[in-house]
Amino acid sequence: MSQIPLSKYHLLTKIGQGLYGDVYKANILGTDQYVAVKKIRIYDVSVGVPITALRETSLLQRIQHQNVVKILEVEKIHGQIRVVMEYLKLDLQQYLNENKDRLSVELLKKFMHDILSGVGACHRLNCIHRDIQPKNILIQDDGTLKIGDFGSARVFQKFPQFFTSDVCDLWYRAPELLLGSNYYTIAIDMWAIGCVFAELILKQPLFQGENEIHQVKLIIPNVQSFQTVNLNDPNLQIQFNGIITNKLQNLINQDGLDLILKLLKLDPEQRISCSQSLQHSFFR
Amino acid sequence: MDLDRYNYLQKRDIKLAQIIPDQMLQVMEMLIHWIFQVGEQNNLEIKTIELAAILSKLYLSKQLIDSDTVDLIGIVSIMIAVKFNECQNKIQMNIQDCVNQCQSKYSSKEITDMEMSLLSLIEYDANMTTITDYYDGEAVQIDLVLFVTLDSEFLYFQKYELYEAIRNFYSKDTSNLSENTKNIISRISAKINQLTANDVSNTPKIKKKIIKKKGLRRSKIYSSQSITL
Repeated sequence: MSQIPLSKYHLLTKIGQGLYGDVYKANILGTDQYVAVKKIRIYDVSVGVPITALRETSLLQRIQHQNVVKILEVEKIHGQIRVVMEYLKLDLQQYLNENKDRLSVELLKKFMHDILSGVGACHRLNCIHRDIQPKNILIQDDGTLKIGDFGSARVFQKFPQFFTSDVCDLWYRAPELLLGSNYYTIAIDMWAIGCVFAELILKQPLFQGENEIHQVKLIIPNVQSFQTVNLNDPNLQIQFNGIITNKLQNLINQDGLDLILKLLKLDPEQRISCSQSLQHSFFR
Repeated sequence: MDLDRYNYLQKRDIKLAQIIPDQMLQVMEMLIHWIFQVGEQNNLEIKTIELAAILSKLYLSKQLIDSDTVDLIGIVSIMIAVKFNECQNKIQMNIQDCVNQCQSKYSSKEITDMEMSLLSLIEYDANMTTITDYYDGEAVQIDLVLFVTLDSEFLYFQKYELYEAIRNFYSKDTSNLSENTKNIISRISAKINQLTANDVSNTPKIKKKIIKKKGLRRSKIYSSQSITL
């Protein structure tokens, strides 16, 4: 008798579209436990298994951290690959849209602590996420935040490597990326975290550029020419700090503002890391 | 190096559990050599080349395969390593590139099936530790890294052991090195001396050339042509 493999998961409804295929809410057969199942769609036979899928399964399976979304299993069924992940019904973007009230300082601390811990776990394992934004930060029922969507993530080694500069959602893209750098570091994630922090306070994205040039101008208003921008020019930083302080000073305490300014350093070399941020007085 | 990162690298530092039969070793060396060549021609990163070699070795150690189809494993290993590690704006590799590189010896279906087979063998986790992952800012001795990757004598060592040996290969003071590291260093030296000596008696120069990094000789598997990755 030929065996027909049976999936352990029963697909319920489509809940979204990931980078490499549709995402379904499913339950584990015989239980009422929910999981998210990402079907890896081979869009293009000529490419084989999509790069985003390969990177996500490779990186996420190893990062075991309470603030990073978990892969439970990679299932191969009917010649198709399905990535089974823990099911989280809400992301930070939806949360911000639905929740009009200002976040308390306590909640800000909790959220930022979770984000920095999750991203810090990736960085310790030599992985740059490259797409930190509220949509990719998921919320568990108990309020714990988890970093998800590792389709853009990649590993790095400890010497300069050439990477594509076309990463990160525009609004969360670090200035060195906007200026076209190909030799960036984990500091690009730190900039994005800074933008998310400001967004949690403002209840709207910090810099909403319409295109790359507009985005640069929001960060460095009197930019003359992109070629000559020197990100470690102290005057540029002072000017920029002024913009941030104006937007946020009445909405957050001094420690919080100080942490944001350290995350949003124009010069990537000067930007604070996850482990340093977690030691910051804001969390005390 | 911080402890966290080191632990993680060690966890993914795969030790070949199964022995590759002697008659396969030569085939394997030829295959790894060919992977180097494709890597050099296409300017692949050293990590990508190491990763492709690891994937091929793993597959050869787990499955009994026909030496005629060993290049299928090689090309698919390269494709997976490129997908995982190379910057996509710089280089891309798809199924058709594999078909072309093997001069249509395999169909795209065979390439796709091998990709699935290799990925399920590694449980969809291509993030395996390479020797160069252990480097922390110091200059990488590419020649030695490639040498130990190619030579089957170093097949069953873990990458951290090889890294320690390579890092200390030229150091004068060996007093604080472990016995294991000293042993690997002397094996590498012996191998290099042997190859250099053999060289005079007109034997193939492939390995020595890697050491000198003069560029690699054409593959024996088939005449190579630059592939359009």
